[in-house]
Amino acid sequence: MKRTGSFLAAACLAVLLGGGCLSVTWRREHRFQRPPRGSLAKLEPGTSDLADCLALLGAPLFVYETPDGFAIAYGGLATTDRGASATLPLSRSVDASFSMRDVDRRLRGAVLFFDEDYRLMIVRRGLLRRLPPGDRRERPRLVGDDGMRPRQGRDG
Amino acid sequence: MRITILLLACSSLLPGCLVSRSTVNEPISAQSVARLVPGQTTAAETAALLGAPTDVVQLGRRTAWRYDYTIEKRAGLALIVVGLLGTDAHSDRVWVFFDEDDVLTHVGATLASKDAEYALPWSALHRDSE
Repeated sequence: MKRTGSFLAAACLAVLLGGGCLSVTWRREHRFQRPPRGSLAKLEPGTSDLADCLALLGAPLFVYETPDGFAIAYGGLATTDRGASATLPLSRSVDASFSMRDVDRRLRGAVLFFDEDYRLMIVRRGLLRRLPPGDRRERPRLVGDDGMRPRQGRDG
Repeated sequence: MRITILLLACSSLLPGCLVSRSTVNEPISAQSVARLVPGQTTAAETAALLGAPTDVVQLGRRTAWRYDYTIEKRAGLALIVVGLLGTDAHSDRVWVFFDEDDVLTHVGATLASKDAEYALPWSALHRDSE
């Protein structure tokens, strides 16, 4: 009886392990580089310009157009995940694709806003996805095929 | 039978290792970047030097072009139910800004793709950033 119980326990454990139901993970991810510590303090809004920023921080990750000029964003990702999981594979799906959009959403760093004369106006720090979108300028675009067309010039 | 079980047990205990390297776009030549001169180089000359940009951003009547080359290195270890994975990605990036007449006004370059490392999660990566 005792032997049967041990056998069943071992069999259950083997099934769980073989099916990939139990897992312990430790993952670390580094992408790009945030601005060096103390570097942003060297920039003075109202005084520093784009050339100063590029010389100090190098090439940004992104450049955006804003209503008052433009913005450049620096950022990086540094995460560590440790965890254990137990799953019951009722259905199986595999996604081997790499989504840059997902990575972009987790980047942390700084966004520097400039006026049209390349002068630094504002420096904001934090998650990049939270900083620029509300300040982006919407560019004019053609209306889709829903019956609305760009207005044509009148004759005469 | 015992030998078979022993072999199966040993093979299941052997760790699975992963080392991979992937790149995006073409490497950027530092010599080519050094030949960009604000106030002189035109957009056409920039395209001749560096090729087609990865991205073009309209800034009013001005433009900014992005060039980038990214290296991602991954190192992992799998031991039955334990999975360890380290990912490190760095890039060479160049942003060039042009005025209304397509003359270069500013260049920003970061050539850091060589900093990407194969590192497991506990390995030290000496970074000092904001």
